[in-house]
Amino acid sequence: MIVVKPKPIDEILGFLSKHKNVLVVGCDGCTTPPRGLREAQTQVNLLKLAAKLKGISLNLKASTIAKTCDKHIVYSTLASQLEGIDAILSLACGIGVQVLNEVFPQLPTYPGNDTIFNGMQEKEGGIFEERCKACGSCILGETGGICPIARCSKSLLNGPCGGCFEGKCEVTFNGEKHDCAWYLIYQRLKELGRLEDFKKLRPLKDWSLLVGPRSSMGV
Amino acid sequence: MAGSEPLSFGLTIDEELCSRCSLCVYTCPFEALTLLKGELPEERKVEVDREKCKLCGLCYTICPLDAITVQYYSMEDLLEMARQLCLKTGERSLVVACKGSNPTDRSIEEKVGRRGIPVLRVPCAGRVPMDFYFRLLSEGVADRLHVFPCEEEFCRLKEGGKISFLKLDYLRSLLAELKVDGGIISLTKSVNKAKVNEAKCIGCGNCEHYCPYEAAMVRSPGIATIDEEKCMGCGICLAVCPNFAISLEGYEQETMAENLAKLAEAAKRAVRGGVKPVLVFYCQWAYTPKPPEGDGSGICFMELPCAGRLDPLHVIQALNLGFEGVLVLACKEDMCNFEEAGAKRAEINLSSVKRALSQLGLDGKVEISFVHPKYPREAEEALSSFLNKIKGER
Repeated sequence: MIVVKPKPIDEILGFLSKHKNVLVVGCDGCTTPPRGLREAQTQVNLLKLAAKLKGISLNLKASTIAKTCDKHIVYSTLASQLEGIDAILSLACGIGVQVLNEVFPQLPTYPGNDTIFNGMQEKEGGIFEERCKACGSCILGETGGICPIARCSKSLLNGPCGGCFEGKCEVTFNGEKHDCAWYLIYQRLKELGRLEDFKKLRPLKDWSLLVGPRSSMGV
Repeated sequence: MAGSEPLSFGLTIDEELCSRCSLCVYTCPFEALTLLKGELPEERKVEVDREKCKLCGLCYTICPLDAITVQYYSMEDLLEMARQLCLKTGERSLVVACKGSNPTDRSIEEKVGRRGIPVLRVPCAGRVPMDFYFRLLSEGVADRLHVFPCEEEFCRLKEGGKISFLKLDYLRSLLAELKVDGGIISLTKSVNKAKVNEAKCIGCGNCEHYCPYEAAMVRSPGIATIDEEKCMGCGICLAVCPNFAISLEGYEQETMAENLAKLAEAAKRAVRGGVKPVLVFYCQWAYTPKPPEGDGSGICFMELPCAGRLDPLHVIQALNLGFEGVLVLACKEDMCNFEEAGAKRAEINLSSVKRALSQLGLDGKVEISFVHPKYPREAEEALSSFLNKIKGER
């Protein structure tokens, strides 16, 4: 899933204060946590409260789209809902915000979220974690299904380095410790009975595959 | 209130009246009572383990000397509510129903086959004191009783269903001995489970992720299903569904929105009367407001099947509708009837709402209090301290 984080209310109000009638559009697609109709209504209510407090006059409506990363679906869903609207706030990921601007160029569409990474959610902790960097040359088949590009702080192809203590990486983010990816890879390959794969030397990665803007012919 | 005085526990044993017969010890389904032995007479007494005790009241029913008092509900409050209901409707029949499996009067009317019958909804029909049923009949409040407990498997208080059947059987046999028609008390078992509206489901999988009973499942092509056998009706899935695709009778999005709109009117009236309106969302087991609709003092109540059903959207809507404060009364984690998941979910949802509101300096207007229904005054104290906080603001 594409993991997003709501933008601060002040920033959003900064975009919207130049407008009068705003449509807050959720996305039923793939964002995690979901940013669908319920979240759009919640955002509308939060903005109403904020507008009242700051003495800004703003009319807000909530809606949603099945997936914002498809121009046809975006057009057919929203075209009839834009009467009197002078701006859109999208709760989709960065992709959706751009599609909306392309499909409805006459209207500004602003982002309601910061898109942060591709990842998943742990059930217990409720924490979202990055899992994939979309690097274009997947080595998960060799590393027992654990990605060192996304989960190793240094994206090492031949790890571990000397900074692994009790299975945790010496590099912390916001004071949080995370697992050493190569420690996990070792454990996993051992579990699978494929430790000889661990010793294989991986050649230099083609980092040019990460340089954008990328495009693909599809399957 | 210094808070140094320990809050009274809902069960007390009068040592003077108690004959140490130990009938209660043997009757307790949770093994919460023990007869302490000792050389001296003062050392021999019946003691209750507060952790194990669920305030079901069976011991109170069985004690031949009336030495035990159990206060899950205040008898006088219950009787008064029943009286008012019967007076208001002019009816001689009364329904006493478990809230959890009978969320609306309409669902009961359908089961009884009559409209307009007064309904007294309680958190657990099994924990209603036996005397209550007796007094309803003997004091002429009602001539017929319909009791609607939860089905045994659905009872979230574990044993609550069984206890209510035991008590009612006991009551019926007593009535038979007194040559009173046992048919004046009828028993109907019910459930209330979550359902997915497949047309609205977007297949996001949140319901499966958060369901404490593994009842909700998302399968290709992306439609959720809820296993009726496993669902325990907590409503957590409703709060996390991004498209309002799940319903739980009495607590669906439409019903909550309607109820909020009605309460908004009450809030406006309070403001005109110079009172700051406050909305209290309460877990059906954490608290029983009396009277249920509030007393015109600006406090409004909205029931939840479990605090985990609390939707951040409703909290923020409440503030927009004019409420000056929102209090959530949830059960303490170890008392949560949904494997602790409800209490945990409520805490997480409330924190996320407070984070969002803190951007506007409004986080002080929203609070959650975890209370023990076993200590009946905890909820009252949480409510009054929140009210004082809101009154004292600005």
